[in-house]
Amino acid sequence: MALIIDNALPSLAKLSKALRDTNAINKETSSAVADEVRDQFTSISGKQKNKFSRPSTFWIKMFKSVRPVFSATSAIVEMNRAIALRYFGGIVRPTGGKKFLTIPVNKAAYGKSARSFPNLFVFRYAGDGPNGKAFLAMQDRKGDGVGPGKKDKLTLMYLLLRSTKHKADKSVLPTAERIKQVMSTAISEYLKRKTQ
Amino acid sequence: MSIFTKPMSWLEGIRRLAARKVLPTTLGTEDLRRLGGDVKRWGIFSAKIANAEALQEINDVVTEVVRGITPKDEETFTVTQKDGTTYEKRKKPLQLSIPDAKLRLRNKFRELGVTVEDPAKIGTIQDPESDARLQLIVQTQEELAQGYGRFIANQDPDLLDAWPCQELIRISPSLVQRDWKERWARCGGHLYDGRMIALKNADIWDRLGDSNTFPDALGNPYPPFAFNSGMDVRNIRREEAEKLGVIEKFTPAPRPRERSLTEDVQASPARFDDSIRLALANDPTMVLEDGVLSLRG
Repeated sequence: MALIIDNALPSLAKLSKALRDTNAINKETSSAVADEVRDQFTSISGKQKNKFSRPSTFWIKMFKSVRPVFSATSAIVEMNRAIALRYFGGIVRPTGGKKFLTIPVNKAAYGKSARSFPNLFVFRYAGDGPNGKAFLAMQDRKGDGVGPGKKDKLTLMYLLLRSTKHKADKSVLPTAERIKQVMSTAISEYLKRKTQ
Repeated sequence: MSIFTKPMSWLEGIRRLAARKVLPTTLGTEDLRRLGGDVKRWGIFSAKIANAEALQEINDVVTEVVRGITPKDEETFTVTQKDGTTYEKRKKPLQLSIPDAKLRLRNKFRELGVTVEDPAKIGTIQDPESDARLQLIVQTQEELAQGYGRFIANQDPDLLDAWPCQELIRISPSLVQRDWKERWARCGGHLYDGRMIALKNADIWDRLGDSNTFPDALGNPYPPFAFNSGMDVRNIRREEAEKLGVIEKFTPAPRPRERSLTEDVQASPARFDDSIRLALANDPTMVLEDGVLSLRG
């Protein structure tokens, strides 16, 4: 049996041309999936707040980092690699010469580097054993420091951890099914436009 | 010639941003808003900071925050733990974090003596060392870089054909309450199912960022449009735009923006203060003729 393609038909010629342009197809699919990923991040951003009840800036940063990358042979969506940690899970350790991660435990410390506070000191709680915790803390003198109740006040600013373990959370990205659906729609609409 | 006649990649947009010139100024934010939008985009600025070295540090820090990852960033070393197990550790963070960027700027400002003159303003937004001010500098510059990169990348005829419209959306709550639907209406925008949608080349995007209309606007036809706006745009597919009635069937794709920097930066130098005028007039890429400052073509 022979399959005969009649290229004389203008619509088939257009279709053939559109399908051969893999760069354009990949541009369209990667852009469509990038939009879908941005929508997902916006949706998460609307629901999540940080532990200080302030809106998380993390997802906004992630939203802005999403971009399509394409060539004739590939359609890719790039994003900040912090998403990989959320999606696949993993262990975070401090980089460079630092020994500890500094996790803010106080609203005033949120969004600031520990080094921006000049008078922090290490405060150990319940010893160094497996149940012990270490913090970076600051000391404030209440009132004039004289008389009953006028004691130094200890404020815990950061929890010190050698590493943090993150569980995998597949819900941060659209499902593979949803991505396939978005790509399929993008290709259909691309072909529709190119053959009109 | 600085006219965007062809699509540029996102990275190219960032690269252009990284190559911004440093323009010392003692103008306040209000005065800076009066400058042409692209002067602000082209020359990194920060209200009331006149020290060129401090401005260069802002440029360097923002470039580090927004830049992509290079192979050098991937360099690791092996750490051996007490139990003999090993793991690979990166030599430095992949990107400069916002808290570290703020700290670096604060230290540089201190070193250079860039500070607020009035002691009553220490710790306020007018104090260059205050967290609020540093956050504003880094965040605004970072958002401008991202927004500019996306704007440039979107000037692609195929993408404009597939996604001819965009919707103004909130992606982050703002501490300063601003009614964007009211702004939208003031700029002549229509609502479709309650949504703020328009063609990508519609004038409304320029009007939203117009500092003559809105005092907090930054002069960009792309997000964030205004200081700390929390607003962004979302692409709208042709089919959806047709269904919502934003465009009709077979409406031609918006033309890529031929955004002429020459036109944008035309502004009377009388509006500039002495330092910025001097910096601009001595710039080999700019020309000052008949009191009008333009980019040299």
